[in-house]
Amino acid sequence: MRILFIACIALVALVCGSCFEKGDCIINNTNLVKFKFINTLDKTVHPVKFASIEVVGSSIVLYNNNVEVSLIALPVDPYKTEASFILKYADTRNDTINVTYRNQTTIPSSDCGAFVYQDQVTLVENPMDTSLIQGSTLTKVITTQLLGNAEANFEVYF
Amino acid sequence: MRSTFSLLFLVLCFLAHAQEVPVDTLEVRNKYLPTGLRIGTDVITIVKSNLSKQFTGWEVNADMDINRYYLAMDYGQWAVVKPISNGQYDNTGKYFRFGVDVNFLKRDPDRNMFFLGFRIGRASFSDSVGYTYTIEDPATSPVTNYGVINKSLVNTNLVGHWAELTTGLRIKIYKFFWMGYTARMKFTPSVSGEKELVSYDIPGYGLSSRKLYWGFNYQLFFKIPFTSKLAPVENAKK
Repeated sequence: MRILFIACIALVALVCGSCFEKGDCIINNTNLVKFKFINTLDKTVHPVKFASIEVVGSSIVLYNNNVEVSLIALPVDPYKTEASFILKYADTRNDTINVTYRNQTTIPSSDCGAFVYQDQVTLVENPMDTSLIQGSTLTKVITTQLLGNAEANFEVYF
Repeated sequence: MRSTFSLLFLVLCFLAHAQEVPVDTLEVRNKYLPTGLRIGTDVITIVKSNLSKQFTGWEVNADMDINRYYLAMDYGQWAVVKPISNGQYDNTGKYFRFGVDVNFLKRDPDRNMFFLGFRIGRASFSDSVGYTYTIEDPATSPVTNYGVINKSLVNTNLVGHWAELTTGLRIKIYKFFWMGYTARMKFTPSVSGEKELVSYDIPGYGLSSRKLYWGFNYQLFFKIPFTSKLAPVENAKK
């Protein structure tokens, strides 16, 4: 009799436990890969003035007003797995940044729906440049997943 | 001479008596030999399949006793058509589970069961999703995004694995007919073979994002007996 009572309690616990099935709906993805420019000596931000940044294979042109920025956020195409950006500095020099990434579609819950995020973001060395970005000495990987709340994916030290 | 004849007669009587098997001896078979194979189905899955537009499936269950231990196996099919807020997810596949149950009702002459058990589950399936999506990021101005994303993705030849702890009852209701329930605590799901789509639902398991998941079966069984001889229960020794 005692065993049957325990069995009934176990059943009720399992049925009640199965009610808590609402999924978390925290979507924090972005399609922007972020580069932060840092001064090697004092670790402060290092502003860089761009004439423009072009996204290769699209008509997107960014940072084309000659303003100094210490953080650039460059969009990747969710239909592709690689992206190239042409950085045109205010002093007429150019750089090219190439990145590869993986698209992953996930469904947190039926209420949240499906969304795509990018991870495994990798910088591809440009054989034409001795460093990834002219004048920089080091590029540090912060996170390889594109997240809205991530301050940067890469830190570029000057 | 008379005493020799008497002695021979006594020996013959004894031998003749020894030839007869006592009729009141109960023949008890080896307690580790299976008494039968119990085959059944999950009623909840059948009802759910008929009532829900999002789920079709069935499941058969079988177990076989080895004393108080039961080898258990389940096989089923599972297909889900799940509307999501920005599209639709589908999957279809087969699954099986196998494992052992331990009966804790040792002295029940009918071998009714209250059991605890363990299962290993494996599913082979495919899934797909079609959805539209707009990246909503404060930092994304209209000039930097790629507009509305329309994606249609398919995974084929997926394999899912998980483990389960089970508990439940098996009650003999009439001759060869049994009923019972099995409650399952499923855990450690994994899927291999995924491409761009991360699988949402694993046949036989449920939502793959849940590292701990619950399942429940209400089952009806038919027992195919292997013998009419009695197998001993614990109190038969007493």
